[in-house]
Amino acid sequence: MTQIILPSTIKPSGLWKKRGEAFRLKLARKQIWNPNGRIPKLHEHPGRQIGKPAGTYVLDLVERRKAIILCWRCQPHFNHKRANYYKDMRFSHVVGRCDGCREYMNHQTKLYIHESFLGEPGGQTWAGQVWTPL
Amino acid sequence: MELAYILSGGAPVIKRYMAGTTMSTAGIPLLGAVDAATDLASVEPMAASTAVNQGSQVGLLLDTSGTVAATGVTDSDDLMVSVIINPDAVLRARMNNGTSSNTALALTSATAADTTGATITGATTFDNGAVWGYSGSNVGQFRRCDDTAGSLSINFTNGILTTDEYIAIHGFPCSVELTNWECYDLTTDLTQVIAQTAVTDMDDFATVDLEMRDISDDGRNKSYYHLIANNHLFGSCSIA
Repeated sequence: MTQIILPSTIKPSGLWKKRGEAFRLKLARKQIWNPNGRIPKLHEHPGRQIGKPAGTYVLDLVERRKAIILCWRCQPHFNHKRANYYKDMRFSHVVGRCDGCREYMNHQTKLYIHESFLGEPGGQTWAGQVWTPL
Repeated sequence: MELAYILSGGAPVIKRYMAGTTMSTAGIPLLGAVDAATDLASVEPMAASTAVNQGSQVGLLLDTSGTVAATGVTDSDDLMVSVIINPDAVLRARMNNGTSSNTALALTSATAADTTGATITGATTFDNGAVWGYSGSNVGQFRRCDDTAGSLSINFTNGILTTDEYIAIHGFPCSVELTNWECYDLTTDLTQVIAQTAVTDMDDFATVDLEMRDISDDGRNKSYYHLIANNHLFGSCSIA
């Protein structure tokens, strides 16, 4: 067992072991914080597999030219211009599961679309968009 | 087709589902599984719409899928497609002339001048459709057509000359008349709307707005419908 060393000026309660164990059981029972918890089986794709690096999964999506959703934390890690993606600026945010961290967010989440699916050939493009044919 | 905006002002909700059929074109409506029969075994959800049927929609496709094997779908990431599932999503679809996409709209003109601006004599118009000035004296204006070809519900501000050019399409905002002229069919690749050809079936889009451009902005190629699904699986579903 890990020994907790406290400064001599602090005198913990005699019940600290009991309270610590109660808190541990509370965490385990209610699953207040469980980063490795699996999302229940849904018809929707669960996203990146647990244990698979986020970057690898996103690169898999890039290779297949899939639409990508990234939260505000994961956006700086994805160079969408190098991947021939564009950030859909028509909407301030989208609602969906981040492909990087699996977090389901309804704000501060951006949609990235491969440039081959951009608008319509010959159609009007939006500011900052470039049409590249397949 | 692309998402124009959400009618309720919210954000697009995107889900990644497994494709039921092979979809090689993005920007098309997807259909869910709805059947009058109780057994849905032969009806696969997440299927591409057809040119004449967009009933029981589930949303707009954002990317493409891999090939779905005839022997059944496999649990491959390649088959997962992203879909905007908002039932109140307004889709922006190009007006197209005919079944092949990227065909310019046809122009129509009057065979006789009308100083009252009430009738485009001899022009091809569509019942409960829209007509707008492409070049000439009535550029920048649009009107609704009524049952008689060339006849307008409300006259144009300026007189109609034989040298004027107009574009007439079927469909008018905030208006649905359940005849074949007000319905929509899609082009072969399902990304655009056939705007100037009679269709024979009832389809499942209602018109929210129209983008009608004139000769200064290549209106024959850059005019768009704003459509909303009136038979969306997550909004209102009807089995027909």
